[in-house]
Amino acid sequence: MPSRERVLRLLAEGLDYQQIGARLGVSPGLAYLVATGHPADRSDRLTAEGPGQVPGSTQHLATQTAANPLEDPAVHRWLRQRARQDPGMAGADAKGAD
Amino acid sequence: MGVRRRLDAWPVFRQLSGPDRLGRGAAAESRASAELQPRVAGADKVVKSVCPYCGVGCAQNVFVKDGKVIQIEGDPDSPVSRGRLCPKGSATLQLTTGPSREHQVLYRRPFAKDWERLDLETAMDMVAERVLKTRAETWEDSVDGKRVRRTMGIASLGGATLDNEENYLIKKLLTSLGVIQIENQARVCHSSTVAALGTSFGRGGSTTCLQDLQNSDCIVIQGSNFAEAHPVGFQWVMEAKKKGARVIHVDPHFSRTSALADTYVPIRAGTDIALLGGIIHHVLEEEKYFAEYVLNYTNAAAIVTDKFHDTEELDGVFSGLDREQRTYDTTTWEYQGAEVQSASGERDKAARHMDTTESHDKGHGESHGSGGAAIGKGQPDTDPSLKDPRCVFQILKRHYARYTPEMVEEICGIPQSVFRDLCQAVVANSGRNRTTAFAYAVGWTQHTVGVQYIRAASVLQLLLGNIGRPGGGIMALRGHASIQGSSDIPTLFNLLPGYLPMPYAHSEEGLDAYIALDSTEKGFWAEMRSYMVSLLKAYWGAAATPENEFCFDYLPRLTGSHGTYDTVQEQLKGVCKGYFLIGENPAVGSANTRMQRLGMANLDWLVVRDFSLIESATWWKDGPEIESGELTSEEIRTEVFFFPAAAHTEKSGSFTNTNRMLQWHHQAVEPEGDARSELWFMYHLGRRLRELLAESGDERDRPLLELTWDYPTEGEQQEPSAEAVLAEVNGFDSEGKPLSAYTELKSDGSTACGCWIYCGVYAEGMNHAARRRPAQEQNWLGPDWCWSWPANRRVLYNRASADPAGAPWSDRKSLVWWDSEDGAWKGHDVPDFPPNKEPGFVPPEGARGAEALAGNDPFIMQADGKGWLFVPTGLVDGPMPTHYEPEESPFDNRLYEQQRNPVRQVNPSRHNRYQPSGNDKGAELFPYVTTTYRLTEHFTAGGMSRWTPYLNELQPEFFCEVSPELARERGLEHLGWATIVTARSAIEARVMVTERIKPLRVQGRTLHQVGLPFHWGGNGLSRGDSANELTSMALDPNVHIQEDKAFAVDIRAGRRPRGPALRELVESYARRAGITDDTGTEP
Repeated sequence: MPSRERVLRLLAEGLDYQQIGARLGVSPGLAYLVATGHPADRSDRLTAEGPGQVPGSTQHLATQTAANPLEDPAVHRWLRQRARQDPGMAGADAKGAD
Repeated sequence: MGVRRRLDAWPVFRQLSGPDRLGRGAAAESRASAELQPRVAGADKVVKSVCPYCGVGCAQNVFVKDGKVIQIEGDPDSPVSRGRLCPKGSATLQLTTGPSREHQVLYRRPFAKDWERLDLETAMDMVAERVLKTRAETWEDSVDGKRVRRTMGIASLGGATLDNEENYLIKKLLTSLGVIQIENQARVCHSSTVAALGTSFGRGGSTTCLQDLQNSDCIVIQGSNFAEAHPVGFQWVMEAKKKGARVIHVDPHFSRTSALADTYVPIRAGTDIALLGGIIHHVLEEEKYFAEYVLNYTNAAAIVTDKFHDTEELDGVFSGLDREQRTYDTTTWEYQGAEVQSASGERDKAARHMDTTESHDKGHGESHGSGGAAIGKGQPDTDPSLKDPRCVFQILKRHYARYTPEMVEEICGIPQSVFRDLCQAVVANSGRNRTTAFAYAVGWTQHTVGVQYIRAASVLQLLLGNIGRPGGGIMALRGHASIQGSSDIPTLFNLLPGYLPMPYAHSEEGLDAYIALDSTEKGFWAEMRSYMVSLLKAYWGAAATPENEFCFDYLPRLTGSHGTYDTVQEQLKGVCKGYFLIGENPAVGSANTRMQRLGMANLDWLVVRDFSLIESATWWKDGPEIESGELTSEEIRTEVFFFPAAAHTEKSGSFTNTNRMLQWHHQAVEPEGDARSELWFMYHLGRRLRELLAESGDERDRPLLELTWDYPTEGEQQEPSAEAVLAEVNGFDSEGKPLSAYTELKSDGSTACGCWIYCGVYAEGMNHAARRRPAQEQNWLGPDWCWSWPANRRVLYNRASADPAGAPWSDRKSLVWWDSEDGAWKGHDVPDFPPNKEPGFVPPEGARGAEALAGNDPFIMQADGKGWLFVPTGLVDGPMPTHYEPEESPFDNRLYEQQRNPVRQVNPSRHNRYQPSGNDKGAELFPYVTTTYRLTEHFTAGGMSRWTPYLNELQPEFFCEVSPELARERGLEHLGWATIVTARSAIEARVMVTERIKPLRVQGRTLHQVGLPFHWGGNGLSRGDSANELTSMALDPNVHIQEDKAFAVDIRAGRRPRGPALRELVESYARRAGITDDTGTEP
């Protein structure tokens, strides 16, 4: 288990928690926990203060497998197809542009 | 293992030989500890989700391993929940993966005593067949000579716990079939909110968001047990308190909300308008209103026609009352100088200009959910001095003149000193530098004057200048994950998506007449035609052309109120024969549950979709009427299908929370067995119906056959793509490009949009509802966390946060402001105003729509751009809130001769008898006031909590709360049993003797109140009688919501009778009280 001082030193050297974790052979979330005393997913803690804190969310350090897709190309294709199947829409558009 | 390794495995050795001499770190770690892994460590993936319970919408992380959900935790990045979950949210792992869920389709044959199994495909085919048969048998082309093309034979109930995309498909499919009786929990929970906030401000959603409560200087929580019903949202009240805000809780029942408030004010249930009216009186008499705000941003200066007469002149009723018809002629409430065209709930009165035949429309108030009531052409006359006796301001002063501290004490049971302290707190925390917020829930909505409760708060907040400002507003606390969404994309009989009204049957039935009835001349509601045409294009695609008015004729027509309580009566009459219950449990959760079950016992078929065998699925087997002998299974012909439903972790879709915020949850795993989403059920039911009718040439089938119903499907189960449905809801142009804002919608048929107020949620082809930018990386409003309607605004009417010249009222309360250098509105939120319109803009003569909004018109959906202190059109029971006693009350109305709301909706029948009130003979048999409420650990009618072991351990039994004084008076023992009786039924509950309910002094005598949680029923892990056995169908006339937050009961020691003796007990009360079917029904 790396010591707090060691993690903070690496942080001061400019490494981020992913790099620190990789160098020390622990997960980034654990490196964060060692440095700050608080879990990276911010359980039971709303504010981030003190040594080792980084701005913004740290959840990704503890939960690295989160997936949150924002776009689905299949839906984009389907929308275009819907519009093609309704030539009246384009007709109205063209009429409006006249 | 070598000696050295063995020694190293010994913590004491490590401690003594290594650098960790004090044993505070790694040295002390045992092998067992080292091998411990977090439960989530091995997860294959983490899926972003949203809690499926209340309307706070706490974000969740769903951990999945090997295709199974292994853990569900709060997502700390959410700006609303900040990682927290309440007991219910924490139990969602058990809800979704527990053994109590059904995964098999079940079928009950007519007259059978038990279930049998059925495979999913067969069951779907059978349901499709029954839908078509019932539809054919009950089809109506016309009613009274007017075209309706509909069926009254089929009804649907449910939607508030479903995704927006599911509600969209339910409404779309059933509407194309001609079904009009489409309803959901929003009717019985918050329909009052939509009509009240909509007519007051132009939109029916909460004016603010939960996290903005932290900016309040005073928060009045009334009609809500905020801390227990919306626990995670309550953290923002605590944040405000931490910053010095004063928190006041007004409620009949002391709760954890009261315990955390600075001041708790006990009140007689059903008297909140008297209290709020008292505060309004104080503000007006003491001249504590925010004069500049009132003059510029409200209709205080508008002159009302001289035909108007107030309750003060007519002893409790307004001008225009027709007692025989139980309606008001609302034209006497008009502005002088602007002819009012239509009024909520009386839309046909305007239609009479075109149509000589009267039909009685009783359901229109919610159509002001995003577009205020229309006023006629012309500008209302005004008096900026506010001195004209017929200006709104002076009318308001006269109306509330007798709502004095003495009167408040007499009616509400609130001592004058406490009332004055409340007034001072609200006034001292309002103005340029300070803001007060009001938060309420169903304690306000569920009354025969529910709309007017919320209107009273709206009037007060407008007078104090607290709308559209940080820390101000009115927070409508919604109680279901997507009950806001099921109003916006409504599964409600009288609405189409985006609060477009369902059309009524008229001889002038075209699109032009429909638009003329409802659209405004000014503001964004003037573009109603664009919204409607785009909806019709979304529904009927290529079939919708300008030549056929975009298939407007395909919409079935209403002829009156077709709300859920009307449906029950149609069931009893044998008119409604088929019923879909989709995530709703009316046998426990709706008023007069006995009548609900009797209605279902008269159906041909019933489809129940839920997680477990709720009471609405099994009443034919083990319901109270089976136990009492009123019904026997062998004589009940209703065919029942039970379909297991998919959980939120098993489907993708969006919930709209109480902030009006759409939050996407991704599918984590496929549902097991026969469990399917509502999206799947509706899509595949529609597909089957279209196949069965593919060869039909019947005119009535064209709306179904021409419906756009081509959604892409995914996976082995052929789940329709929820994102595709969202994309249709958002809207697209003629090239299939997603639209970015509702201002892009056209009335020429070149755009399609399933719900205009949600336009923008899929802008640029991105699912904005799925955005999850962490709260720590943005401002308190969280603009990049998901998406709020309208246009991603978080605080509505925020133009009002700046003064008429465009500067913030104060630095402390700045939100948006005019940047004269850039010629644009700027700020912390998306401005709720045309972005480049100058504060001093004066519209040119003849301007319409958004162009007609002046620079000081912050209420952009209102017909006059102002907040309405007085509602000249849009409501059916009065332009200003007035105190009436509840339908059933032990007291006479102390303010007026008029006892109750004269136009409340009553449904007299032998199954729905009302009790005498006040000093009427027989009222003394029901001397106690009762209110119902929610517990933290249970959820509404119990379908999502009574089958969950954790939650039932925490709240294991139905109980009633009574004071020690009432316990002594009635011989009730703590933990003993009590029987509670009304004219409808009698129930039993464990007695909790507690000082949480204080006796009050009302009209010179002591009043005891009884508290009842309403979650229980006969099924599940913990069982008990349902509080709603006691309640009646007495409804608010604007929105048809029931009054179950204040009614009169008797309470006696001991358990209730079993078998036929139960009805005998209820009948004995009726005989002694002289109750008949007509009791309590007078206007």
